Amino acid sequence: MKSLTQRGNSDFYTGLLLVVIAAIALIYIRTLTIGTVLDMGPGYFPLGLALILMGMGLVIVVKGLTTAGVPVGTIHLRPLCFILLSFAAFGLLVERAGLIIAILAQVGLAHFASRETTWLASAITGVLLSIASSVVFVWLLKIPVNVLP
Amino acid sequence: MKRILLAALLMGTGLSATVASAQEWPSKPIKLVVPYAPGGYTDAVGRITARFLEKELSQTVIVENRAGGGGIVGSDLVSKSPGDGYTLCVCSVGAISIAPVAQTTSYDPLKSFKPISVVSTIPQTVIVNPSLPINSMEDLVKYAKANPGKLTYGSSGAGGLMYFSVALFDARVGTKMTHVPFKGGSPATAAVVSGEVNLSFTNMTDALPQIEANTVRALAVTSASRSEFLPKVATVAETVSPGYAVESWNGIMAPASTPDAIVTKISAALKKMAADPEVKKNMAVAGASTVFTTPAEYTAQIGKEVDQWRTLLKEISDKKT
Amino acid sequence: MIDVFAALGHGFSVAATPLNLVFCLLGAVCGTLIGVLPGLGPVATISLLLPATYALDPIGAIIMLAGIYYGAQYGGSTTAILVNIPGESTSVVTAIDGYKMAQQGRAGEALAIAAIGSFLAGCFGTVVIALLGPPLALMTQKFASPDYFSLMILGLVSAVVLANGSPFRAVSMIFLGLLLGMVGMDINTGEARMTFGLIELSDGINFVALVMGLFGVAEVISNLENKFTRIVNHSKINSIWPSLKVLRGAWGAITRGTLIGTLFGILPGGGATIASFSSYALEKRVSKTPERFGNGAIEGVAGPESANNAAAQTSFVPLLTMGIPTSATMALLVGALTLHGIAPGPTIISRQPDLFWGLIASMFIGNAMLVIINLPLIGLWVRLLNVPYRILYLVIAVVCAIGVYSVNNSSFDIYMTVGFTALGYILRKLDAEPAPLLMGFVLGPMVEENFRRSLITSHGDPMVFLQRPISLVLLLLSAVLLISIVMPSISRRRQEVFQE
Repeated sequence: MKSLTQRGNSDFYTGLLLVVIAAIALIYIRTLTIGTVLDMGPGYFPLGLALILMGMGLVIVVKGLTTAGVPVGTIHLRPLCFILLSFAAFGLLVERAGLIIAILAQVGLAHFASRETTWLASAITGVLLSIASSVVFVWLLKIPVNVLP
Repeated sequence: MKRILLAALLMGTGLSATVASAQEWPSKPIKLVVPYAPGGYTDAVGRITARFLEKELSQTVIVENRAGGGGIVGSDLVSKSPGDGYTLCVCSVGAISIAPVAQTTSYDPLKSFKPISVVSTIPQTVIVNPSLPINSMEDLVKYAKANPGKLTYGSSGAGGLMYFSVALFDARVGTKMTHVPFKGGSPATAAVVSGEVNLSFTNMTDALPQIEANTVRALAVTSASRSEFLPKVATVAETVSPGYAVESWNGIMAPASTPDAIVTKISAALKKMAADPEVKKNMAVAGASTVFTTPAEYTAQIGKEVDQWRTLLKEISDKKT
Repeated sequence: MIDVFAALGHGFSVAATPLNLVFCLLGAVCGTLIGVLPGLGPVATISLLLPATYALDPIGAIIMLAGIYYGAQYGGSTTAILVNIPGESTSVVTAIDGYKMAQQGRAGEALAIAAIGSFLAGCFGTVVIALLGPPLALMTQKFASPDYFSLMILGLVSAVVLANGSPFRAVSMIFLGLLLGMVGMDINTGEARMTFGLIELSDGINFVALVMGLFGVAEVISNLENKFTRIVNHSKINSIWPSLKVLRGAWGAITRGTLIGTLFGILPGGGATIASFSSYALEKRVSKTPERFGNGAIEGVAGPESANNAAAQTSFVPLLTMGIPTSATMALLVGALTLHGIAPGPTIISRQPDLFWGLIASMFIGNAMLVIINLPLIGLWVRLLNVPYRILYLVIAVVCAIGVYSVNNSSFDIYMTVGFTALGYILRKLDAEPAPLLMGFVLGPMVEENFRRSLITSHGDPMVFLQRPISLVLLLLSAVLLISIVMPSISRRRQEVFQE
């Protein structure tokens, strides 16, 4: 679990992230009417916020470049990717194939997020979860979703 | 992967099976989409309708709230649903008659849906804060003309009926009032009570209890004829603006591809509903009148309304330039 | 005063009929259940269970539905403490210290204090409704947009106090939250803003999707990086009951939290959220050892949990006295009453005394039931942490996914969770705290709405914020709080510079 070699520190990347988000926001704010203080358009507040965010982001970038800060934590791709995929699978399947298949698919993918899982335990968990969820969410709480396709 | 394929297969067969089943409709639960958050007026109408249809058709009717974009998200969803009679919409004037004109929607109010019947109508009520020296619509017009831009009115947000009904009023009588949008009709009504805004064209559901408690003063209703709930209150049309008529309605619509046989069946059920005393009583608590229209009448009404709002929007944009 | 007690006595005679007691219990149990299940909020549940109440009489129905609402507030802290998943905005701050306590093997203590604080606060809030309901409702009538704006500013400043790291970075996170809060339709013009052309975003980013991603799911991923034995310190699981010393330490926080919650809960909009954040900020300020906050301080659980439960109770005031719903849940209760043939309005107390006093009496009964249900459950929850994490994380993932889906019945929201999980994971790696971001996100739209509305109703005069007494007081409070945050950090920096 030794962390990989770090380039830059967390300040630098935090600032960079904020600048990038602010820049994306600005692209979409471009088309909105800005207005004046007395007659604000829909773009007034977002523009102000995005500019402040960009400013703060830049300050943090500079701080990150000039001072030694906390290093960025190591990004572990395995749990990240499989957990994200498992959620996406649930979202894709829940309306198309029903709750049970969506849950089994999600558990199946999330299983790979960790090396400590065993197939048997995950399979049992998946089956029990599908049954419990069908009872609690659909039968008891009446969530409008099909249990089976 | 096999599972997914299996699921897709099952879905496919499910679809083709429903096409031929107009005869035995309804053979499974019906989904009634309410395109607004639970708790509002449309939600109440939807639930009253669902409760009646469930009894009438002996089949479960599930209310599903799909809020978003002032009713556009849910209406859009229904317009794209399979036309098998198992997905219906409790549509409302805002998303069907106004939004397609005022903004761009992916559906066409007349081409993407099969209107079945209006189930309830509800007028807007002109209410003012009682501390104002305004006791009638005539007073209101006089006051507004003497103080252009000074009177403020609360609305449920730009693009909603509360806003458009005042915009139409301003255009017809030549007044100019300042628009103060709120996040929903209920806070806008509350703002008239507290005096933060001067007036509002509020829906009857929110206005009625406040009028009864004298926390606001009712000046008029916006419908063409007087409301059964406030018979003493005049209409806008009979006081200052002849021909002015704005009414909020909720109606049941189906996706355009729904077979006529099913539409006829639903229409018959809704006709019975309009005569049901318990439904009438429940609608009345919400300040709504129970209504029935044939699909043809409903379609014609939407066409007329779309024209009205299109004309108004043109008037407004002409004035601005 | 005598009248109130007579009326309340009558209320108890209404609420204590066997049938109504059963409804109250059903509501409390159901509320606890959805409170514990992340994502499932009272709004979705009440609307889904509404048809089941058609057959009941209106009083029984409203007793049960109200029970679901305040019962959910009890359960809401459970997942926040156990697995760092705050179910709603009011338990976000509970997660900060509560989850730390759980990791230190003190989950039982945190849960017990949360339940006790909730009970005391809930009862106090109910007393306030009974004794002071109508005058307090008149007070809310004095609040106009400029005052709400200033209140939001106070809330945002409190959010800076939450942060343990640099205040500057905390402020940048608040601004990121504010910006995310701007996504969606502009209510003044109806124009879509930063929605990437997606109609699903027109009502803004779904709060539950954001919270689950930033907190819960991101936490799961970072737990999966470690060997599972490290996640909970089992060696130190103490007795689940808090010691007398802990109780004494939490007592002040419970009292202050209750008062803050009672007061803010009456206000519409973000009242309850601001109450819980402000309570946390206050506790950290008044504490002699503020460095414990963020590392498992019991006051950080006791204060906010009391505040949000008191607020849950007093948020009924505007509805019951003026007929004005101040939140989505309250609007739903209006809808429920309407469907039962009662139009709630300013006349509800005089016209429906059975309903009004019966409901209030049921709140006392319900709170008592909730504490009885919740205390024994704590043992069960703590044992849940003993479930091997390789199984627990699968359960958490599935329950989160269903919870997010259930809010709007929308798959889109699940995809949003995927996106925010990625963001939350990155922020975690960058040592950036998500709690201030969340406060900005919750308050952002309200800040803008009230600011713009203030300027419209004042016909463009910005002095309105200083001329209104309520607004002025709130702004001064914010300024004092802000200075007290910035000063130590500046002086600390001076010292650092000096040392270098």
